[in-house]
Amino acid sequence: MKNAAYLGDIEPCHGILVNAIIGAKRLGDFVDEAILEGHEAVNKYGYISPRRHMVTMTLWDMRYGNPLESLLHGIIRQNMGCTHHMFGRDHAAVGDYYDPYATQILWEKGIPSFGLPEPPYDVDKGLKIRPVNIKEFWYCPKCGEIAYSDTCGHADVAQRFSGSFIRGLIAEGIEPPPIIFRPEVYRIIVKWWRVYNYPFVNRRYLELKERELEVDLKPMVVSSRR
Amino acid sequence: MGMPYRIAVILDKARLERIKGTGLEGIVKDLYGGCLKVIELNVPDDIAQRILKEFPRARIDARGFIEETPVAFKRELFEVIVQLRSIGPEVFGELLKPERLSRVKEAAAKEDEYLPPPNIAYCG
Repeated sequence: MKNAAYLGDIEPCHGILVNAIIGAKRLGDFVDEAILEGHEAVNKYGYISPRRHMVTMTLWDMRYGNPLESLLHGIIRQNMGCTHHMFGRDHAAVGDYYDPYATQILWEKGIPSFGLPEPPYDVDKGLKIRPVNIKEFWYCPKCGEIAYSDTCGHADVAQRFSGSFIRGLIAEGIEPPPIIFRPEVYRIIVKWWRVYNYPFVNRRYLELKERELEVDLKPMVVSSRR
Repeated sequence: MGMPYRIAVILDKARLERIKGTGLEGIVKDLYGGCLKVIELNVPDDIAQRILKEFPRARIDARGFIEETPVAFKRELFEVIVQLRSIGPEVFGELLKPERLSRVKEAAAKEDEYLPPPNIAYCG
């Protein structure tokens, strides 16, 4: 995130607003508490100065709508005052229903079948928020560091990261090296793992969250007369 | 036959100790600048499909690796590698034998509810 904030031809960002989506998620995602506290640890322990990094949240059950959901994210974050929105690979994605870069395509050139022949910020009455599309960071053994895929020329030896691989590492109880997880962030994951007896979202966690977060409302009566 | 997939077994200190003197040390691969040690196996397409079918949450990740298999599956895979001192296709032949597979599945079913947290100090 630290490097991603300074990529591309945009002005370096003045600050990073993390707006975590909190609510029902797919089985195997990290639990809400760990997501929020984990992000906070990034600035609490100085990995990104708190002068430039703020953690907020939006209560929303993920629909995994990839490009369509990215429009909602764009609206929310624009309304929060953001000038740019970072989009990575597989934004709001599950499985391989969408192209891994579908959201970036929408924000780069539009998707006519969605009614957006231009990017969302280029259509009439469109959004003002602009995308910062991020390809991929990998570990390059030749450079000996984390490198950006569009900058590093060693794709043939690059060691890619994978969320699934990292989740597997955690499930096996192996502490991820600092190059993957800041130690303080990992300890927060373990803290909530002890609370829920599980490091990730499972059915029991979803049932618990449904009881805590869902609000029963009376059916809305909407007049059909204008 | 389709493109082979891969699967990796992560080696912590205990596992590295277990493979000492087995001849498997030579195939250990460094990941992320040596921060992690792994053994990688090629998985023929038909075996990969079988694993995905047996463990519905397993998936092929962006790197072409089979991931999100139960911890019990990876644990058993390591045991078979050590037992056969091999990373060839015969590993999967042994691993997917009905008796072994049902033992793995039984353990995997319990993983949905509980995974033992590691014993580390909390500093948050």
